[in-house]
Amino acid sequence: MEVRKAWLGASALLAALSAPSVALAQIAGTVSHRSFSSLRLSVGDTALGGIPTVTQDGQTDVAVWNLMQVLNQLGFTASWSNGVLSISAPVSVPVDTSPGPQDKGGAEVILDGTAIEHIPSTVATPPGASGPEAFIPISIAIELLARLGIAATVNGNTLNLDTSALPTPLPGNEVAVWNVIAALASDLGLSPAPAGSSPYADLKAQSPAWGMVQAAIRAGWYQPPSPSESGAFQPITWAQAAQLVWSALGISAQDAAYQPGGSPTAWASAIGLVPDNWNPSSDMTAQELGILVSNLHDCLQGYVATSPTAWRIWYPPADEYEATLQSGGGQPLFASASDAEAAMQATYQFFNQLQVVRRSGEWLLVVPPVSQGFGFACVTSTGGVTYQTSAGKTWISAASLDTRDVRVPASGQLMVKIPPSGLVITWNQMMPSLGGTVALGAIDVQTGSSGLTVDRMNVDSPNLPPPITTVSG
Amino acid sequence: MDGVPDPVFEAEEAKYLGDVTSFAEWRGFSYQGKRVITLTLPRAADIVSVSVRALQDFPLGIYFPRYVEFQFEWNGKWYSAGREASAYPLSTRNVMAQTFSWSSSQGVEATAVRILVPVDVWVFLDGFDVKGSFGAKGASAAALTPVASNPDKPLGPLLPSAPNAHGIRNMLLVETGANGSLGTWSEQDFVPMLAYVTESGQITAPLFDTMLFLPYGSVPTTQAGLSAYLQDLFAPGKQLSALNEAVGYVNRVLHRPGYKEQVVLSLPYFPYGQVTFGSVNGQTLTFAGTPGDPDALSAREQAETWYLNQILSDWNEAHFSNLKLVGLYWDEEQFRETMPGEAAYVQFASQLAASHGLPLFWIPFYGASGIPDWKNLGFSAAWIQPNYVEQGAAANLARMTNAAETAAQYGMGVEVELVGISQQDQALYDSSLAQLSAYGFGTNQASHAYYDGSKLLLTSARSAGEARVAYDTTASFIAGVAIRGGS
Repeated sequence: MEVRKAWLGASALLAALSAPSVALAQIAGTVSHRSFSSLRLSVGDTALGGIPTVTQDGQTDVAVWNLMQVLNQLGFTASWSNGVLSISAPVSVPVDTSPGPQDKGGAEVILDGTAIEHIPSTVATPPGASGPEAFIPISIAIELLARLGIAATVNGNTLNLDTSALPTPLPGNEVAVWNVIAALASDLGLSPAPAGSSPYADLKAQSPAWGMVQAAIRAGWYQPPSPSESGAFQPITWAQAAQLVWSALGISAQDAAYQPGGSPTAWASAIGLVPDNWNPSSDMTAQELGILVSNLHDCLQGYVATSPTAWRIWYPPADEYEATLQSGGGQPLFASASDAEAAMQATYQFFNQLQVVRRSGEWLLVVPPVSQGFGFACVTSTGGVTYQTSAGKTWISAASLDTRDVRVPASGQLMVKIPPSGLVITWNQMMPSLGGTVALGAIDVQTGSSGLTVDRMNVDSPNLPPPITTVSG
Repeated sequence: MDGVPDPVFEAEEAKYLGDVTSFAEWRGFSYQGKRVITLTLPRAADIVSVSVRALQDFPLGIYFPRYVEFQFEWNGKWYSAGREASAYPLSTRNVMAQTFSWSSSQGVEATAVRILVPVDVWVFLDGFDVKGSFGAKGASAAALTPVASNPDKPLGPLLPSAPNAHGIRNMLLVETGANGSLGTWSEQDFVPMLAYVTESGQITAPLFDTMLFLPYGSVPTTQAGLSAYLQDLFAPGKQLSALNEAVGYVNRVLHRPGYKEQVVLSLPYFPYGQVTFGSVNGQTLTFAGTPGDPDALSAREQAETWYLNQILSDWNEAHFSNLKLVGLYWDEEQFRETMPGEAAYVQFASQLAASHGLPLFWIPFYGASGIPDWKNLGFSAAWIQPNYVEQGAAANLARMTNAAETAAQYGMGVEVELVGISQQDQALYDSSLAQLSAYGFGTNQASHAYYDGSKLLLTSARSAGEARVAYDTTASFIAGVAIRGGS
């Protein structure tokens, strides 16, 4: 009852503040052309009572309050306030929040916190009602229900709701498999699969989760438990989520030993996507998913802001065997996978300690002390580089910078000016067994009016020319 | 191309004639200096980006260019937007590609665009791409750095009288330390090298004024290997000792008391890599690097210092009365830009030599990396190897011309090369000497180093008939008698 009272108050306010002028005119002058009736509501074989309707000019509208009541009974949270219809689903229940038409009317629909569309609405006082109520076209109501995974059909004077695609919500704030897929889709460029028939008993094609889950399965991000079971609405441990991220990034299981950490969970910790203290086997919560997705977003864009004028580089991950280590020309670059893994770990550590700062209108790259070892960095730019080994010291210009050749005082800090043409920073390792060095990673740092841009540059193994058989000298 | 065109290298790179603007095939460039790739536009355009991709394949000798320079033409003049150095060391062992690029949001107004790419050994390029618009107006190219029209004036040959020649007019390379009798020089062996000896055995005139002692390539560059080499080099009755005696003998015959033959000794080259040199001052030196010395510079410098101290100590103790040490020879025929820490290592060697009051000399092979920069690398003087006669039947006389032109461009001497004393070898040898004379590199016109394999001139001197011609021809060349011939 309290909900209804709140609703009635809100609907009155709607009439005064946000109902379209056409609807107000209808209220004032065309009541005699309306006919009130009701539809019987049923979910499968279960009758849920009636829902008031008003028909005018061949269009049937249904009462929003009754619709909200049905949604609340089905586990959603629906409310109305100041011309805004808000519907929230349990975190593990999918809804379609893709943008809809914005110009159909004056009432706004917010789904899981996302404003998705404006819909036409009208207000009328059904016979016997104590006051005016809001109505929306039944076609709009059916479309909104479809966004929630409920297939609604009108059969005579019955509105039947098929809720078979609705999953059972997970307890607490736990997220399901589809949540992780949907959360990663944007940053990793996954588009929903087109409508089709579902082979999965637990994932109907009309579910809002269908398109993303099906696309993830097709793309190899996610392996369903069986051909007939998607597992889309099952809880997911963060270890499984890490595996999903690996798969989404194209990191194959056979290349695991070459990645920093050597396994999806250790990798996620090693490159800073998740805190070290997360339990890999515990089911993931919405908060944890938020952290993972936010970190992955920053990581993929190559940096994270640490202050309004400072940014830390975050080396975008990739399958390091494919992106880096297979460039040995048919020969392994490292004697063992563990050597390669250690080298890649050092690569991420180096790049992840780089900082970009903006001081006095100038962009600067701050290079961390390169610990004594076999790794070294090179910094280049068109026109050469300008660097300083201590604040206040003379700026030095050079064709390029090699940390093997630069001595930074213990109290100093190596800083490189970022010119308009940007900087390329590479990380390399001495390799006496090969009589040379090995390139392990590179980034391109650009600055400009739109801010900072960081691009990872893979060690690109191109098509090769035919063998050189003789070199005369 | 800004270097000297060479038919051998041209033939090599003709196998890799891919379209440099596409990614379908690589375009190969072999030696011959810097390459210039120009795109001439039908009319002025606003150029916003220029890029080209390069290949690195170390085992094949294909290296990234050290840099790519981007230039723009406006009103008939060229302007440089700067160079982009390779973002990866040339020592990189990955087989990989790298894109060199220039870009500008405002763009540069130009009628032509070109890239300059230095080629030290092999450079492979593809994907040369220029983006711009005829509709937009870019910034003035004149705001960039003007390109000097002729920055490199030829320096001319290394004159025998030049201070940095240190008195070296004709320097014979003497290899020892291996190969039995071929690597062992007696007093009698040296005499026909110090002075011309007629077929009847008469000593008539001085020949080589300088002897460069170097170890055979098979001598290990380890402490043990070099110690054995030094022991042999300073052993009584052979090598340096034999030379000292031979000079005394020739001085008496030629009535030139007090004359001292000039001697150049070698500094070994220690390449970076998995090599254990030995123990110096109780410390085992390896050239694989350590966390504190990743390029193994310190280890190689310690080994170099140890060696030089040893050889100078032996030299001083020997008190050769007829020999004068005039310099040291860097025993590596190229500047290996692709090796870690190479520039610093070579600089150290020259400074080490200088700390003992000695110049450091270099004899790079034709096309070797570093030739244009030999002075900056720290060498006092350099002689180029033409590598003409080594090509045998395929030899092209243009190589001799090119070697002379290169030497003149960079102020170098030239190595005279003899690889056999057969009739065919002699024909090539005659050609090479004739070309040197014709191009102003005859005796008194340029300082010469002489490579004769293993005692080929001595063998020739002790022969009769055709086999003696090489010795006589060499003596004639040194005497300034014109050599005619050639194939």
